[in-house]
Parts: sequence; structure tokens; C-alpha cells
Amino acid sequence: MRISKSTIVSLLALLAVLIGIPLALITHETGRTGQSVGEYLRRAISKAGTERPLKATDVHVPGEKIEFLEKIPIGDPVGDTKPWITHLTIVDLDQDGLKDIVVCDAKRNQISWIQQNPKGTYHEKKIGSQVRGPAHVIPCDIDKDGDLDLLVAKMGMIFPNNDKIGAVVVLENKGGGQFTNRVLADRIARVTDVEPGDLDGDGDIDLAVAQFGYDDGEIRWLENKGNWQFDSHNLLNLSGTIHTPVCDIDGDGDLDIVALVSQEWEEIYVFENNGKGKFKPNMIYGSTNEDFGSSGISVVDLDLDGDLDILYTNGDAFDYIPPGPRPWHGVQWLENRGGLKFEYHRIGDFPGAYFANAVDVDKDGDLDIVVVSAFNKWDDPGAQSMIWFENNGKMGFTPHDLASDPTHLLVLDTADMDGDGWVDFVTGGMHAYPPFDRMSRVLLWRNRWPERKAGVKEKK
Amino acid sequence: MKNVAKRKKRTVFESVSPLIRRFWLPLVLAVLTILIVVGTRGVMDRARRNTLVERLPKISELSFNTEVLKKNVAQANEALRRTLGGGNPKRAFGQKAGQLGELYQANHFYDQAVSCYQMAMEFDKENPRWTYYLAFVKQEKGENESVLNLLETTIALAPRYAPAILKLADSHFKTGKTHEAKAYYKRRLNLLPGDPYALLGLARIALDASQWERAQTYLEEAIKTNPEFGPAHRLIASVHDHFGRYGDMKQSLDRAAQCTRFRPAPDPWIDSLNDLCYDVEQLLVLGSKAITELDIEKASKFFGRAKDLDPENPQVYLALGRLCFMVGQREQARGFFEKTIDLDPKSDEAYFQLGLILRREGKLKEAKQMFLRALDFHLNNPNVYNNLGVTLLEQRKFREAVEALNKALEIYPEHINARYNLGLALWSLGKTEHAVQEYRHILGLKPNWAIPANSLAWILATDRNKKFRNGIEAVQWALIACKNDGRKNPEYLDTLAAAYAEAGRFEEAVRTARKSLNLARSAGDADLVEEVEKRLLLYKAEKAFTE
Repeated sequence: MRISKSTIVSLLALLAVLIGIPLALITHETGRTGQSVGEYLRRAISKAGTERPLKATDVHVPGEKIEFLEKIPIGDPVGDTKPWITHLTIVDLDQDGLKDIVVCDAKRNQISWIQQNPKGTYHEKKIGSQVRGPAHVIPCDIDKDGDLDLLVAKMGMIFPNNDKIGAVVVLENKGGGQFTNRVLADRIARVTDVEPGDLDGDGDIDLAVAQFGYDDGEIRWLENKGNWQFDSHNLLNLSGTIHTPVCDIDGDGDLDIVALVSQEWEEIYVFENNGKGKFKPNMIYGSTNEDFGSSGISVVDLDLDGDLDILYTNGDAFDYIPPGPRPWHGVQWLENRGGLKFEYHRIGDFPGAYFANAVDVDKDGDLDIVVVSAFNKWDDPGAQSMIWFENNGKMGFTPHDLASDPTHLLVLDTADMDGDGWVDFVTGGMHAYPPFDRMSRVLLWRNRWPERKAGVKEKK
Repeated sequence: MKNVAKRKKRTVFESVSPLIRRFWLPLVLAVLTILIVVGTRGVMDRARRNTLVERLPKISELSFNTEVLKKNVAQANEALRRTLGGGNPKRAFGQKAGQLGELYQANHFYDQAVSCYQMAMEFDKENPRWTYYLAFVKQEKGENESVLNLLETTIALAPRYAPAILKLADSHFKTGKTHEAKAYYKRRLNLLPGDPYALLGLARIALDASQWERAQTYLEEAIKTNPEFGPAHRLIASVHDHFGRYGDMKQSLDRAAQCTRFRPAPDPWIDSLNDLCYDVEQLLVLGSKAITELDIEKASKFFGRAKDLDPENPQVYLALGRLCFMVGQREQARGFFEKTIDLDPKSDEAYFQLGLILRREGKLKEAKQMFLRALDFHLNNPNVYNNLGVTLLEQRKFREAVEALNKALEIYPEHINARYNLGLALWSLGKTEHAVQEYRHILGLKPNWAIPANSLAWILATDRNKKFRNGIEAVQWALIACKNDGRKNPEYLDTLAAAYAEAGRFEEAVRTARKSLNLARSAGDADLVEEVEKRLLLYKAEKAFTE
């Protein structure tokens, strides 16, 4: 059969219409909507209204659970009380080569020492006399006599109060496990943090002090004049300061003060030091959400680029009754871009996020983030109290569930407690509101990553 | 035959018009094109519809706290889907998407709200609310940079919406763009002259630039508009500090501490979302927030809705009871606390609150029982011990009162009210030295607290034991008690008069006693009038009063 030329032209025209027009229209549409042709065609032929389930993110951060932690209560048991552990720090206090833990117990109004001796065995003992409402403890050889003393921030009362009931207290190490209380500043607005550092470059240790107060807090630094005498210098008259870590954040060789101010301000400041104790305040971040719930910062080189970044949680929710999660709670980091410029990056949502620590959980060379929650929706058994954000090495983070039991975890510190080369966690519980069915005081979470449960994809 | 057939075929073809015969191919192609375009459009509509449906939040596995919320979300979702029609959505789709977003945002489903607002902005471009709400959700999660454009769009669409202008000004300020921040704070001031929030922002910018006088001017203006604006008092203290005016600094800090808690600037669009909240816990939080802002009506509305949504929730009745008690509606409060106990028989808080009501009504025996019941369920509550102590004080059971108050202080040594009450109990037992000790301890922590200042001044001015009397110090404390509102308190003025007399300043004693007398008469306090009159006679005779 002979096909005429005109028939071929007709067929080609027909083909062009049949294929070309839909193709042109679809190409235009996919270009406009940013979809691939395949994706577009799938949507075109799929039945409208087919729904895939989506979970509400109010209590449970989605993400695969990797079982690698062994939970061990250490120190005194929970007993009949509802523990209020407000802070803890891992430190080899007696310098015997084994890591210990110092604990602020606001229920007992006491600093205690959970001593590891022998390896793997922990005993708790009170040190110094009572400190009302202890909020923060940090080791430091403040008198430079070769042993570690403890700097304690005394709130006086954990819950809101405008009275001048705060103090800066040193538990002076007298040797042989004996500590004596020394009050460096008393009858001041409630103190939430005391951090050591030679702030004026004269060789002794000065202190950066956060005074939360309630309506009348402030930030100050105490200049060490020797012989336990300190001169006070005011830095900022804003209420609600929680943390004042001391570090060289601008890399100019002297120590600056970073301060997290909560309440209605919700701001982070860097007090830039001229090396001689003259500070210039710089607000490096501020949230316009007056109820953001700033809860903690830690200073760390998170992206391992040689400068210090700021890891930051917002999850405090004790302002209103009932306390509980808010949808904006979560974790973020402020990337140090140099020149005191910082770029905000949200890492992820986490209801009640209270403190985060950057640590290489899986020893893959980057820093992951472990976070505890104090204000999740605890009457939901799935509400998480600890999660970790796995770093993909490019500062992309994937959340993983770690624990829902115990609840109300306020503090966290990390270190290789057992010397096996893997970083372990220690947490403290603050059970200030119900439910009280999953309580803890101090818990050691041993990292058993090499023995983690099978079936989990190996990370690159 | 073949020729016949050929002829027939030709005949059929030849029978159509020559025009069609000539253009049959383009005609067929045109018809086909139309069919294909229509068909492809249909497929495209379906794809577009499905794309939008996929962008919509999936409600099937969202966990809703109340059935009402579930129902409302389902209805809003259905209304939205209906507007999809042929898959070519219009403004109505945008509006419905925005409304669904509002419902999600109001009930704290933020990710879902964001999806809805993004679609709303696409299809209902002229509505400023969608960009504003999206900006609001993002800023609540701490974002600043990405919020700036959204707020600028909002302001372009609603140039007179002052909350958006403030939010944009704050966002600029908190990202270090002070020039832009200043412009927007001023723009808000043009809309709302004297606005304390804009003035605070301008003052902060001035402080950053070390323009102390300018900051002071802004802050003073803010205080003029709203004397209760705590942040302005706090920042003006920094200005006084800078200029070395330490007395003024202290006064400003004291004033800041006396102010009500910080209230965010009013934002009607955001406030209207609260009407869409169907989550009981969230309504309780909103109510609690309204109480701190002293907005009783609003608090009552939120708690009332929480009760309608969950009539068996004891926490709701507790909140309602506290609110009623706070505004003096004791009967209603009692009813709510009793209902709380019905639903949760171990509610120590409800027993405690009932105890407070009974004490207020003078039913001291019953109040005591309630406090003891509260302690059955929460043994270490210092507030209960403090109130038990006060009840016992009022029953003149001073020794028992001291015991209860000491227990409160054992649990919380910084419980300043318990310490004051202990001082009072000790004084009532004749242990003046211990009472003075307690008052001095309190005033060391809180030097401007009028009540213990007055009590200490009274002992120092009038105690029968001479060793406790010290007129000069008594005057100092009495003057502190008479600061601010204290100068309108006839009892405090009576103490000041006694202190002046003890210090030998009889003229001032007489003058002050007269003021006290006038105030006591206006208040109809006959007992006090009688006592002050007697003392006035003594002062006129240049004699001090002793108990």
C-alpha cells in the first residue's frame, strides 16, 4: 500500500496535536508549580482526597528510635520526695582519674557530690552546708590552691520571687572531701548562674553572674580583688537572665560574657571585653515572641569551623498554669559568622526543650545534639523527655527518640563516664508538677552504641 | 463492481461541500485539538486539585483533644475542599484555606497552619491577615529574617494595622537593623501617639547608641502614657545609673518591681484567634495569662469555655474558683472548689482555697480544718502552714501559730510572709526581741515593704520596755511605711506620729496624728479615731505614747 505524502503530513500533524498539546500544557504547568512530570502525572491520575496520615507534633518528635542507652540510677534514690535537681556537672572533683557528678538539689537545698569510686560505683554525699534554692554549680579553682572549689548560684527560691534572696556562694575545697561555704555576694536578686574567668586579665579568677530576679534581675561581673573580696560591676538591668557562659567568642584572645535573657526580652547578648574588664553589650539575637521560653544556652564550635557558636533551647513554660508544651518550643543554633554576627538556624521542634548538649554520640566525627525536656505533656505516655538530633555532617539534623521515661528532665551533662571511649549522659529530674509516676533524680545513661539493636541502618 | 464502489465512495466524499473537502484535514485537527485541550485541561485540573489536596494538612491522624475541635476542623476542611470545584481554585479557596489555618493556629497545630496560610496567600492575595498570621507563627518559633518580608507585605496591604508595624519594628531591632526599626517605631507612634511599646523600642535604640538623654525622654513619655509600664521604669533606672543618680535608679527599680507583669501590645487579629481555641489546657493557659494581665473578663471567658468543653475536669473548676475568689465572688468560688473536690477528692489546692474563703469569712475553726485537710494531701506546702498560722493567730492561739509558722519556714526559710506572721505571733506572745529580729530580717531582704516597716516602727516607738525603743530609727521605718500609698493609711500615719513623739518631734507628731485622725474618720474607723485622739492629747502635752 502506498502512503501518500499528504497522508504522512496529516498523520504527523495529528501526532503533534495528540502529543504536543498535552505535553506543552503539562510542561508549562510543571514548570510553574515546580513539580517533576512524573510527580505531576501521578497526581493527575491518583484519586483526589487520598490522605496519608500526619502526626500532630505536640508531644512526640518523629524519628527512628535507636536503642543504645543503658539507664542506671546513681546517687541517692528518689525515695518519698519529688526530686528537684536543678543542675548538675560532671567533673573529677577529687582528681582521682574517675569522673564524678556534682548536683544542685533544690528540694534538699543542698549541693551534693556523687563520687565514682571505685570505677562504676557511685556514692552520693552532701558537701558544704545548705544553700537555699541552688540553681547552678560549676567547678573552678577560684583560690588557686590546686584543688577544685565549687561556684554555686543561689536563687533562694526556685519559683518566682522579687525579694533579694539570691547569693553567690563558693564551696571552698578544704581537702579530704571537706567543703566550706563562703558567701561572695548576698541579698541580691535571685542568682541563676555564676561562671568563672579572668575577665580583667590580672591573673585571678573573676565571676560573671546572672541574676534572674523576677521583675528586677540584672547581669553583673564580680572583680576579684584578692582575699575573697569582690567588687561588683553592673552590665545590664534586665530581668530574667538564665545563663552567662564566659568564653572568647570573638576570638580576640580575651574572655567575653554571653548572656541569655528570658522573661519578656528573650534575647542573647555578648558582652565584648576589651581585655581589661570593660564590656560593650551587643545583642546578637532576639525573639519577638515575648513568651518564647528561653531555657538554656551552651557555647560550642558546633560546625567545627574553628569559632564558637551558640546552642540554644527554648522550652520553659512555668509562667502560666498549667505548665506544659508550647508549639514554638525547640532547639536552634546561632552560627558565628565573625564580627559578632550570628545566623539563626532552627534545628527542630521539641516541646519543653530545656537544655541541649553538643556531643558526638555515634563517633562519626560531627557533633550531634542531645536535648532534654522538662515541660512536655507528661500525661501522654508517648511524650518524650530526651531526644537526639543526629548531625549528617553538613549541619542537617534528624531527630531520634531516646526516652519518655523518666519525665521532667531539666538538666543534662555528657562525658565518657566509664572510660570506654563513648560519651555517656547524666540527667537530673525536676518534678515540680504532676504527673509523678515516672520520676528520677540523677540518672546515668551509658552509651552502648557498638551494641545497639540490630536493624538500624549504619550512618555514613 | 469495483468501479461502482469507487464511484459510490467518491460520490459520498463529493457530496460534502467543496470547502470541507478542501480543508478536511485542518478541520479534523482543530476538532481534535479542542478535544485534546479540553481533555488535558481536565487532567490538569485534576492534577492541580490533587496537588492542592496534598498540600492540605491530613486530619485523619491528627490527635485532637476535644470532639468539638475535631468537628470544627472537619467542617472547615470540608468547606475548603468544596471550593476546589473544577480544580481551578479562586479567592474563595484562599479564604477557606486561611480560615482553616486560623483554626489550626488557634489550637497549636502550627505546621498545619503554615500549609494553610501559604495556600491562602496564593489565592487570596489581598487579605493581609494570611501573611500576618504566617509571620506570627514563624516569629513565635524564633525566626526573624524570614518574617520581615511577610510583615512588609502585611503592612502594604493594611497600612494602618499598628500591631504589624510594631512586630516589624521589633524584628528589625532584634536583627540589628536599627535604622529600619526606628522608622517603623515612629510610624507606629504616628498612628498611636504616646504608644509605650514604640517609645520603649525607640528608647532601646537610643540606649544602644549611648544617647542617654534621648532615651530618658522616650521612657518618660512612655511612663506618662502608662505609669504601670514596667520595662520603661527598668530601663530608665539604667539611665539614672549612667548619670550617677543612684537614688532615682533605686526608685525606678522599685517602681518596676511594683508594676504589673509585662503585657504584650494589644493585637486584635491574634486575639480573635483565641475565640477559635477548643483545647481545654490551652484555654486554661490563656485564662491564666489573662489573670496576670489583670483582664478578669477575658480570663472568665476562657475558663467558662473550658468548662463547657470538659465539664468533668477538676482543673477547670479550680481555675474558676480561684478567679471568683480573686474578684471577691466568694459564694461562686466556694461552689467551684467544692465541685473540684467532688471530681478530685485529693485536691489539696481546693481544700486550701476553701480554707482561705472560710478564714476571710471569719469561720476560723472551719478554715483550720480545711488547711489541715490540705496538708493531708500535700504535707510540705509552706503556704498552707502560713495560712494555718495566720488562722491560729486570729484565734489568738499564739503558741500553735508559732509552731505552724515555724513549720512553713522550715520548709521555705525565705517565705517572707510566714516570717512576718511569725514576728507578729512572737510579739503577741511578748517575745518582742525575737519579733524585732524577724522584722529586721525581712526588711533586710525587702527594705521597702510597708507592713513590717510599720510593725517594727511601732515597737521601736511605743514598746513598754524602754530598751526596745528608739525614736530616731522608728521615724525612719515609719517614713518608709508611709511612702507612696502608705501616706493614705491612717494606721501608718498613727505609727509615724508615735515615732515622732518618741523622737521628741512633737510638732510633727501632732500634725501627723491629725492627718491620721482625718483619714480614720473618713474611713469610719471609730476605734482608731478614739485611740489617735487619746494619743494626740499626749503629743500636745509633749509626751510620747507607750503601750
